[in-house]
Amino acid sequence: MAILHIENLHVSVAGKEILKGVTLDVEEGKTTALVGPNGHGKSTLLFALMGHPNYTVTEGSVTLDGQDVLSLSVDQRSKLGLFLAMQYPSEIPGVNSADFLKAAMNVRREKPMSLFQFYSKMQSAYKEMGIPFEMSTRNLNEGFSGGEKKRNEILQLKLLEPRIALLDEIDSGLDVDALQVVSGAIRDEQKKGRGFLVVSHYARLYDLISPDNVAVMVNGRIAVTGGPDLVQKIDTQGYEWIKTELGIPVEKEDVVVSIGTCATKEALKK
Amino acid sequence: MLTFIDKEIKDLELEVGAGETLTLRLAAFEFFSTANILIKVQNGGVFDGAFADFSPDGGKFNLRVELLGEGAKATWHYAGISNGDAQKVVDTSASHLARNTSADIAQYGITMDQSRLTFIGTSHIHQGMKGSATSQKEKIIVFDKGAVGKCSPILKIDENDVSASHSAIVGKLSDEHLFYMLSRGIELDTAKRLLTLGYLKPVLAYYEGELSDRILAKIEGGF
Repeated sequence: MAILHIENLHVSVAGKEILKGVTLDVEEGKTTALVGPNGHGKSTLLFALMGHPNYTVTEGSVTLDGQDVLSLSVDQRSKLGLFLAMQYPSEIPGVNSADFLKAAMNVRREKPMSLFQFYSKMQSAYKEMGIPFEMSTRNLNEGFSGGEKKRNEILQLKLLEPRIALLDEIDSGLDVDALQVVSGAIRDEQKKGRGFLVVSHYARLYDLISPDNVAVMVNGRIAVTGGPDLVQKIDTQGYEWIKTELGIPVEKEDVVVSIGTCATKEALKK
Repeated sequence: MLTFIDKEIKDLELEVGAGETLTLRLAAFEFFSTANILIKVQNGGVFDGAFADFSPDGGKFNLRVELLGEGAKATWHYAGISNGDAQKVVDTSASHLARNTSADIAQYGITMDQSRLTFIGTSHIHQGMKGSATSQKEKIIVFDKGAVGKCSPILKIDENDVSASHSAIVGKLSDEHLFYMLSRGIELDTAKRLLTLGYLKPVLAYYEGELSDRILAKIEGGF
């Protein structure tokens, strides 16, 4: 089983250091929950792993199955087996969903799929995700509701079959039914042996997908790792114990961040 | 319907008679014509024009539409590219010289490499031509660093009781859109091409048969 090995990773955004030495292993076939207060670098880690150009790695290394990830372009990282499900997927005008999916699936194969193969795969994925198949003819994410976009992220995960999937607040903006569909799909993919690194603020998602490990990100570093019981502890006690038990002061945000914005981005505006 | 391809596109003056419809379809694959085309539209006549342009050369193409009779209508849709070091200008103007006339101009372009693409044109509603409507929509995507796009749709309105609108957008492909596509394993060139498909494809609606296939092949094949 491959391991995504992150070693002493430092990442800056617009000249400000957000990650200050993250060391973490994510194993294929296992699910790691990544939790921590807002603005401490969880999303930054996911975007930096995927290679977003705004996130500059200044130090450290990342390997997947021994292969250097940081020297790869974004599309190469995807082909190597990384997948990022975004909190706010882009709406892309003019790009038809089916054309997009076909292109993304074909880059992983030596020979392009037959149209029949493609449509049958697509049809069953749409069905499993509870998305009407007609939406495959619509522009990518355009006019989709928040919940539809999240389902569409997991739909892509199913079709692209990554080794390690990074999920950034996949449960935000989902109603109860959609949460069941999304978490059910994640459980299916867990059974297929995929690895997950899952960022969420809610114990409810973790209850549904049963992570194997939990990592707590504080001040741009992994402050503590442990078993699933950590999620319950944080859900009931918050993050104060990090300071009292571990002696790590939790840097407070000095900006008010409203729901639906990225805390790191907001903090950088200051 | 009149269809001209590449070198067949030449200086031209056409009159659309009262109540008649003229459909003009231009397509350029190998050669960009620096033709001057003048269309005169009489009472209730309709001019319906489209130009799909994938030619590599530069120069200035000029279309002028004169709406001479009451109720005359014109629509024009251009979709094309400039590449290499071509300096390409598409100049499209409409003159409203009668009441209740309408003109609808839409031009979409992609400028690549070191080339320069310019959309210009004036829509002029003359004094007394009440009830007329004119619109110009121009949009250019700048694909590469060295490429330049310029849009300047001009409105000249000498009458109050009319409707007129113009819009000009020049921009590069969105980094967030590109990142999203790349993160799914799609290579940069393919991602750029997919992002432009939806932008150029609407012109296909104006073409049929073999010519439509040829244009689609150009759009999907990356020009």
